[in-house]
Amino acid sequence: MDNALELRGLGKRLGAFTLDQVDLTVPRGTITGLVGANGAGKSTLLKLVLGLAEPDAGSIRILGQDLAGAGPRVRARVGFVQEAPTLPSQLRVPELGRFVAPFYPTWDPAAFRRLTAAFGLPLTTRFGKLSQGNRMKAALALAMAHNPELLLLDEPTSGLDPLARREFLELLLEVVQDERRAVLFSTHITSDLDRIADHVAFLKHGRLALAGPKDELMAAWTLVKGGEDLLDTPLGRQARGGRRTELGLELLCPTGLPVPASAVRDTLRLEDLVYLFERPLDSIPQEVPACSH
Amino acid sequence: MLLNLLLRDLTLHRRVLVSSLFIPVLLLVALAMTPENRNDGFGPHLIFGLFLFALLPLSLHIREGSLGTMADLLVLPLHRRELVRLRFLEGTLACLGYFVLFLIWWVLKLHPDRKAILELFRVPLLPWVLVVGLAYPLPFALKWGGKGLAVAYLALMAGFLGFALLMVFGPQMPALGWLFRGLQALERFHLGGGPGVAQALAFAVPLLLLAAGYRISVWTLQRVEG
Repeated sequence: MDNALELRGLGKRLGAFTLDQVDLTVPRGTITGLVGANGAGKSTLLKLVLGLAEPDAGSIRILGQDLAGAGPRVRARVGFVQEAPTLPSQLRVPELGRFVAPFYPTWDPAAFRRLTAAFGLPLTTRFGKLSQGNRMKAALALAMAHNPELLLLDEPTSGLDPLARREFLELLLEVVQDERRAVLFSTHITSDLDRIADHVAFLKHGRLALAGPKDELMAAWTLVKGGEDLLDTPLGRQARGGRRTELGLELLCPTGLPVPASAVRDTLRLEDLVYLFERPLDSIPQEVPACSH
Repeated sequence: MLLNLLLRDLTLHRRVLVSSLFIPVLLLVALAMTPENRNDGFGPHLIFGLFLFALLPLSLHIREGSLGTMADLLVLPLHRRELVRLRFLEGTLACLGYFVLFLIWWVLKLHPDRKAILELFRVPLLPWVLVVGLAYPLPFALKWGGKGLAVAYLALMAGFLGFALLMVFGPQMPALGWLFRGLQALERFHLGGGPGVAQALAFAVPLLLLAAGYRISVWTLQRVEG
């Protein structure tokens, strides 16, 4: 399987923030979720991939070519949707198609019509009057109608209600049915990635803390709950993060180590992995305020 | 591709462009109300109008930033030099449009003699307006948006002030005599007082400055981060 996107040692300094030594690959036919807290560097990374910013270090290969030397032909094979699509508010959806089409040699008007119909977009409503979900769908239809091989989405679900979000995620799954295509999708909503991501990359303070196939990552870690004595066991010493709750400790541990009888293994969700990974235990308040009612 | 970009701007900035049509209307109305002077082809109305239209592409570019469409513009699959060409094309078309409109109005309304009309074409007015209104401030606007434009014009005004002071005090400052004489010659040539070569130079200087402004703008935009 070849890669739609390869980042090697990517670095960028922006004021006090530094994106540091990011190595990441996005294979074709997959959805890669880029997850991290606000300010972790997700948008900076996408800007670098889009050529909106110059990296200070490292290289970007996009669709088999170095981004530095990639001309408009390569960039025409990439689709991009930003968090809050900024399209002319006075235009209706079909007019938006005609607005964007001339810049993409591979624009397919039939595909655009098919996508707008499949997304159930109102054709007579101006873009400015569309709901947030429909705006995002319109932006996605515009980004997909030129048959991009790499789709870059910057927090596309952050403004959507649960129903619209679910529909949107299902659309992304349809996108990668075509094995030539790949999606890189930044979000801080880990439940979205639970549903659709094949690969996950977790950015923390500008550094790639975890990356790989989602199932492998989930299988490599386990969530163990127990008392304070857990810290003195081999499992506790191998923990890569954790937190104290009113019931005891929750530790993120490598899979395969024996769990003491006094502790229990719990189901690990992606959110737990992202939340607990490299989280120092001592940074958590020892007592959690009880509910007042 | 330039045509596509032009159509994109006509769609995206339709309101601004329609509003800008009031400029020539207002200026021509103001001109109609001034005392009649058949040969006054270089009036402030013409220069002011041209200058405003030369600024129009800069305002469109700055507006992309305020609308949030700058990232969309910069990720379009085209070379960034195409965007600079677009701004130069827009400025030139807008200024030419106003110039032609002014000329038609001037000829029809004031019936100037042929010599006065020819004088208008002997002065490199349009290239100089494009230099001052577009080519000089464009790199600043591309890099820093509206703030850059403001800084560029403050610097320009300081330069004009220095120029004015030099014209007043230059003759009393022997050390600057060569500069003063050069500026006087340049001014004379631009007002059509020089020989043929000087006339050609009068056009060549702003055209070279326009070319330099274009190259600097391309260099700047290629380093702008979205």
